[in-house]
Amino acid sequence: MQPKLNRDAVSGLLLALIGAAAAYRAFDYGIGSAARMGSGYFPLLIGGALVLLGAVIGIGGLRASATPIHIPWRELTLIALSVASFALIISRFGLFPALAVSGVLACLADRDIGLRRTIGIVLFSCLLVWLVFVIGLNSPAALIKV
Amino acid sequence: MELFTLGFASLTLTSVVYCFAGVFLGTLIGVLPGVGALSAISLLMPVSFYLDPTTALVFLSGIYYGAEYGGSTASIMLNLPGTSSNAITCLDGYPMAQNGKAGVALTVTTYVSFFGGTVGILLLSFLSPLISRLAVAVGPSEYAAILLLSIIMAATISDGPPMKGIAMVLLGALLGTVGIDVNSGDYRFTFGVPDLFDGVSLVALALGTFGIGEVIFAIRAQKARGPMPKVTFRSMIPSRPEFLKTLFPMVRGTGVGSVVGPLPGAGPTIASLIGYAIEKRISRTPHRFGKGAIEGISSPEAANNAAVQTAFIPTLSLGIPGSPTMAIMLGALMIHGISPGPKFIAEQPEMFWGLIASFWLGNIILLGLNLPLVGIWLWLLRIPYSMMYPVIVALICAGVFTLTNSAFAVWLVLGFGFLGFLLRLFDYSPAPLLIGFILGPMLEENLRRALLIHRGSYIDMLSRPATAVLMLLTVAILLWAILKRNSPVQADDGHSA
Repeated sequence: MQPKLNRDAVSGLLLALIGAAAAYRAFDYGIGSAARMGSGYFPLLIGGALVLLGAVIGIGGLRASATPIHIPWRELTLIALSVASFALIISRFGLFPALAVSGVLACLADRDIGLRRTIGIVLFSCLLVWLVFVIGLNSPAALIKV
Repeated sequence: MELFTLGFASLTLTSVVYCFAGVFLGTLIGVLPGVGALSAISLLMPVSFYLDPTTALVFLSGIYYGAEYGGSTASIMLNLPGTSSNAITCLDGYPMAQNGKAGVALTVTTYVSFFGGTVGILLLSFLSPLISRLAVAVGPSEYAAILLLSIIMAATISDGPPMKGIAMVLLGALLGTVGIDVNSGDYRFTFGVPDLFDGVSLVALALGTFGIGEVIFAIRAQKARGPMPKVTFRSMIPSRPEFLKTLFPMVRGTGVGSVVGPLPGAGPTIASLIGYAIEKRISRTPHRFGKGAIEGISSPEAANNAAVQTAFIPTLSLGIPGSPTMAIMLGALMIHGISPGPKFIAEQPEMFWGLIASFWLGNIILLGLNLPLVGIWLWLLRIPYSMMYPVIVALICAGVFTLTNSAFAVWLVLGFGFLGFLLRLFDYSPAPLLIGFILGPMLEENLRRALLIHRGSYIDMLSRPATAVLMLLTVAILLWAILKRNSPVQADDGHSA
């Protein structure tokens, strides 16, 4: 069965929560007065407005019914894993290993990319990144660390 | 005239080469659906570390307006917009291609783009010095009011319901407060993470919400591509009646683009939508629209190119970027310690006029690039998205890492990528988020100064006539936005790259 979601109600609630959390933290930073604004003054203003707006969007959303939602799980998971693997590998092993692992994971997001094409894409990515960032922009990133 | 004494005189061979490289790359990025100018400019922002500021800006803006030329190609050939401001061109461009008029459509969009761009540059070079001269006298309370007006406009004009737009600028402004508060030295929302002390990286925010967030949905969406019609050079020459039919829409579109371009949050996409709507309304044969009406491509393509150039007006004369792309461009300037604002043109005349001169040059190069090289661009369109997106992800990761030389920024991209995914899932637009992120801290700073001068009295602040007028405008737009929410009118373009 297709999952359903009341987009406005949920997102309004989330926004109001974020606003409330920010406004709450803002008190710790010191509100000050309008003439001498503390560092919490502006975040309190913004957080408060966000609570208000989140509530308006959320309550407005309650009048509507939930609509079917389509979450591309495979793409979401694999692209997230691809970026995460890059972040994990880059510092310890260098640029090319990071590009290789994250590239393979990214290619897996689309089930129609075969093995040969994956290898081609990864090699091309390595070449392009090397040309643009290492040669072109003088990035100090190590290509491979052992 | 300064354009010639300072502008063209200051263009070196290096900057001419980078101008060419910029517009070439821009066209390439514009042609490929799913790759936007914003991502490309964010990735290449580090060039500012190696180039002098004028050349860096010449290069980055070349990508920006070059993408506007290339963007219509995919709209016409594949019914997929290359950039969001070319989405409306699909409506009549694609049917034209299906009727064997692809070549004519490509030619028309190129020369109307050139016309729109040229008029836009003219306005930019006359209006910017004028506005900045006026703005030098502006105090912090007026500046705060202008910023608030810009933020509200950006939130309400851009696509989607205005309420959600306002929520996005607020969220962006909140993200903008992360880091050390310059005024008090307090750490705000850093959660003890040292990498956050300097604030959230704009590039990571842009690449995450736009780049990664888009890829996740585009992998499936871009699968459905039809076959492409053939284009020969002979088929690219429009007939005399076809040519005449494009002239008035081209002029009207340019007018629309020139007015809409400088407005914060509006920019080329909104300009092209309005340009199309006007043509359809005043046409004696509106039923032809959507079936390959040549007016339906000439007006919006002139409008978005005029808007792309005039969008530089508030950026260069006031230091207020109206779009995320402009914000990144200002970020590139700030790397050099040049703070954009009303004094920019007076203090850096060579840079301002050099940039304008490069726009002329760039537009002429683009005219040359687009017509004879059309074969290359069409060949590029045959590359399926499944071969592009892994490369996009790789470039984003490596680019962000290069910028900061720390893995933390890559984690930020992951977080903001998830945010971008959620925004698309919940029908929010990420553009106002970025505008809030940029303008929020500027608003805070000016509000602080203004309230200090007026001893903490908002009433006192509003007693300055210019501030009052600006605030009234802001309230009017807010009211209009709230009322509009209940009307069923919706723009008929979908979400796009």
